[in-house]
Amino acid sequence: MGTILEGKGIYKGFGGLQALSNVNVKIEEKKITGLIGPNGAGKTTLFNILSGFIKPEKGKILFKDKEITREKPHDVVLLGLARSWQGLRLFENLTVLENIVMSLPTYKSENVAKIIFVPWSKNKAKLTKAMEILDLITIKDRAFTLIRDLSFAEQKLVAVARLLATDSEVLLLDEPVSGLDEKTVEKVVTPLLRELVMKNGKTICLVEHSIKLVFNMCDTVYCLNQGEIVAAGEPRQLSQDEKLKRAFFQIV
Amino acid sequence: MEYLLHIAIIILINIILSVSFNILMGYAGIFALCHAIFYGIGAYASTLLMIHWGFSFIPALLCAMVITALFSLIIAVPGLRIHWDYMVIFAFSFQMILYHVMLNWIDLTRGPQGIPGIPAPIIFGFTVESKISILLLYLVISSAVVYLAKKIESSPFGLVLKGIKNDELAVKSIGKNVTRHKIIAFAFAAALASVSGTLISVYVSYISPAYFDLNMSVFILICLVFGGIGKIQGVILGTIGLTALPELLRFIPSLPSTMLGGIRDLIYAVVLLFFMLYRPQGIVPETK
Repeated sequence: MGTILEGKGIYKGFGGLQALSNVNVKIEEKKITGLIGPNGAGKTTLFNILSGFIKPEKGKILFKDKEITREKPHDVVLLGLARSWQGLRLFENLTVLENIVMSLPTYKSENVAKIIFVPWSKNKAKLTKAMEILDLITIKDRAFTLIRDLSFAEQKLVAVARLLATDSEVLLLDEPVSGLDEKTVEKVVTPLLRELVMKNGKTICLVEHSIKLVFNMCDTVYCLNQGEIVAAGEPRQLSQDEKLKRAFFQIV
Repeated sequence: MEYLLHIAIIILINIILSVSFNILMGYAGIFALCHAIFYGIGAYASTLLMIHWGFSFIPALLCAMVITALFSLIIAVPGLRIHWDYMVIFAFSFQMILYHVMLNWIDLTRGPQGIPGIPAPIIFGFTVESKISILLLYLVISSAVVYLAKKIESSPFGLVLKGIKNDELAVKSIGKNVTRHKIIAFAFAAALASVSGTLISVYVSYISPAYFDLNMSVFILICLVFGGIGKIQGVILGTIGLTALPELLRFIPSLPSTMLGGIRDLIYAVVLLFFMLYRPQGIVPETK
């Protein structure tokens, strides 16, 4: 197991604000990596750059040793790198199942005519796959519910399910537990993320404000402040440093 | 009876127009006020093919669909790269420019004089001339278009279009090519609108640019707003209502015929305003 995703010397500014300066990150395969830092530190900007939604001014993104810096976001997903959104961005007027089926990649058995003229509900292979994902995420019983009728916690789970449906190896999760109660995090989200890595062989990188989750879950943590990486390493090791402890592990 | 058959035929032609526009606006949320131009390109393409190159009805109809789909790329390829509000202006300009091309390219279109003498359709050696046979033929064709639009709505492609209408960024983040989907939607909508063009030209046996002006694009839009954007049943109901409603004015004896056009436009304006203000979801709402 080695580095699957790497950001090298990334710079990005918005007008007069330098959002990222010489940021270097390495995401290890089949591990959980955390990005922490105060609001405005550049965590989401880094996510946007890694997933191709915005282009850096300088620097490179390597995915499986192939440069993807200038790839379009949908092509990045097809290569095997998908991201979730802080604001979830689910398709609210559609059902849970429709959200998941839409996110599944095109199967080899599907020709153009099938994609355009045959109802998606008749594709048994896709339906089975979608139900398997919903089962894994523990919301199978809500498959036919509209997204807007779900609770916030359920919507968060659908966002993860939608990422899984893309069949990507690397999942970038933007604040997966924000707004969730501790019980849901401990009983549902934490075991789920572990299972995704241990059983399903996924690589996860998450932006998170919950220090507890970062400590419990992450193998490596990057601390960002004002667009720069100020520390990186194992969470327990980093928390020994008094300065970092004050800046990131208590106040954040 | 002849009059009622005429209204029914026009309703079927308009249903094809509004159902095809619904693929763009209802499914994908693309507001392109130039649908009458695709209607016009279809009409002129099939007419010229039939008159100058001796095409029969069905090959002319199919070729006009391909030609119109290709024309749609002129607006779709550059237009879909810009922000949606600029796209609205871009589509409006496309409508105005192409309309003036139809009006002023005299050698090709005969300009405002229009092209008369378009032959009646011949299907399997049978000339479809009587109103009842035209109605039956158009019923088959419009049913096929509605069926096709329903298939698109429930397909994986249609699902992605609905996603695009909801949130384009989210669609990109699940690995779908938004631009490609929109271009295909444009091509389908344009090709189906061209079917209406062929049908009106062989029915009236005459076409002129006046059929394909901005008012026609606005009329198609109002059919959607009235019936319910996105839902085929609503779009069909809206089209039937707005095509038939102004015809009732003809039965008011004291109303001079010179005022009919003005009052019809007034009705459309009132319907548009009323539905936008008080029932934006239309008669048949899209949401479940």
